[in-house]
Amino acid sequence: MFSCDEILQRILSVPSQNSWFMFIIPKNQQHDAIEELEESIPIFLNEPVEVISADIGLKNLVEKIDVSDDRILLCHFEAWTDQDWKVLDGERTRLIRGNGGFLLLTPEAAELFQRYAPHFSSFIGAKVFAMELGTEILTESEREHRLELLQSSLGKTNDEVIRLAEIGELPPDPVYGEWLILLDRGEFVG
Amino acid sequence: MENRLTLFRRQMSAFDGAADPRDAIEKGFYIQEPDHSATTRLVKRICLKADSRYLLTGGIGSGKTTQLFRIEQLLKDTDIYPHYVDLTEYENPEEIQAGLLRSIAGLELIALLRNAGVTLDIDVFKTINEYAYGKSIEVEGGGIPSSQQLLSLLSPLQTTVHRRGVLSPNRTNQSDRVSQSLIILVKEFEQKFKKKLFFLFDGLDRISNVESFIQAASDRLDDSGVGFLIVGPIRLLHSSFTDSIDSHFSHVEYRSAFDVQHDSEAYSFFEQIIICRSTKDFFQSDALKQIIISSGGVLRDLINLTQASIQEAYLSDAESVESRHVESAVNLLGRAKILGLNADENVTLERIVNGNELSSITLPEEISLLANGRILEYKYPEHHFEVHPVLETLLSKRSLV
Repeated sequence: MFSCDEILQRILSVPSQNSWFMFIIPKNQQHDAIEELEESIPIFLNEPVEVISADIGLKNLVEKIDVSDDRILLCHFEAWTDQDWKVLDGERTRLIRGNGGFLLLTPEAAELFQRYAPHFSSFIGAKVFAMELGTEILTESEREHRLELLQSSLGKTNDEVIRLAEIGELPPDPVYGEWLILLDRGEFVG
Repeated sequence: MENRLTLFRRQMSAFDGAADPRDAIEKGFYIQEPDHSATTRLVKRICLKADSRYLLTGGIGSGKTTQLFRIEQLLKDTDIYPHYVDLTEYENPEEIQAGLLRSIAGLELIALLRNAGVTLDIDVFKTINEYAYGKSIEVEGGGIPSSQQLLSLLSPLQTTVHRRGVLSPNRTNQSDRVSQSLIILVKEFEQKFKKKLFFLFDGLDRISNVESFIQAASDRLDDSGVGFLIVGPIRLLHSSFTDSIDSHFSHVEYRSAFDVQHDSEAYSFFEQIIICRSTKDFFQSDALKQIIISSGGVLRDLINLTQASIQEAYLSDAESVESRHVESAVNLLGRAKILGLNADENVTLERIVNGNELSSITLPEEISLLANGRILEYKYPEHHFEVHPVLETLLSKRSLV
């Protein structure tokens, strides 16, 4: 199981070009997961995310994906049949042309997806994560470790990052968004 | 100085499972396949008989599209004009029917000729368009379009954006007229380009109904002297059409997985794919070997596993990819591949993992496992089937519990 924080770090580490992820969450937690991802992804990636519900039907879904300029979060696939997934699999070329996105699926929908959309699934590859809500908050030692890692990786101290944020000169790299949030200075993000 | 995240992102961006193979070729990532690969032989066949139908099939992620682009590249140096078309740009594979190839061949020829500045016969244009889209060509103000308006409709076809819904229910069915129109278009093409046209049709490996594929691929383009190579589903080789497949195609090319365990050339080919996109030092030697072996000789899985291993290294604060990172990546890919298997498929996989060799594919669950890349078929050096290594690892652990 992967916490939302861990999933966000994984999204952040993958180049934004056309990458697709699958997150698996029980149906009764889907609403909270959508809210969490819709709020956190733009902060972490510094780019908008468009939530598209699959209950608008297959054709409408594909059309909406086609015209979206943002990363997309697709959800609510519970009513989808085997045939719907097969047709979506056939649209793979159009799906991978955009900015990539996220499929939020219940365990049952994830099974159907893997079975009936094998071509799309092969593009997602290993980026399949069972999501666990309620464990997002890092422990103090995990937070410290992450901050140490960021300082050593990027060659800046925590104070320098805050100072650069205050004068508006922080590079636009999304990693600084995560850094500021870990420092509890989310007011500079966005 | 490049920060660590940028460095790892750059490394990962070279291993994108969803990347367009044409981009990879342009970036210089294409590595010549081992000598026993079929690309060169296939090009020779096409050169000898460019008006025939060829089928290319193989597992998901086995590199079929990359092979098409490579064939396109090689054919450009001959007297053949290769023209790549992703059929799914026109129609969803689940909705195709007979007549698809003729329609698309006609529409693509019109676009090629228009782009080359050739003035087209209006009747030919109308025949092809009505065959593809039906008679309901919409014009501003409604009513029947004038010749001038029809000509203005030609221009959108110059772009690469295609109208969806080829073969609408109200299309005309004037087969002879369509044949005549195709013949005229091909003559115009050969006159203008001084080469023989050959289509490379991609995308129909995604079709689940084998019969629909056969119907679509049996379209007669050869009246006009145009041949094609079409990508088709692997299920075709294990269906009721298997015995009659030779009557539909002059040659069937099957891309099996590369046997990276037993074929040193295949292993070296996979190693080169990683090294040319990265640096050897970025991967510890045992990690590199583990990625290659765990890919099962499936190109897209190699790319996916490499990217996932780099990510694991990044998240664990390492400077290079180590064996433990590959193990985590193998576990992630294995868990993804095990999702959605039914009871029969699970039993089949466990049976093979426990030492019961699979010598042929006959049962529905075996066909399904092969089509979805859970069972891999190897042709060289010896023909055999194996469970995908990432699944084998997981299933072996499961049987120990």
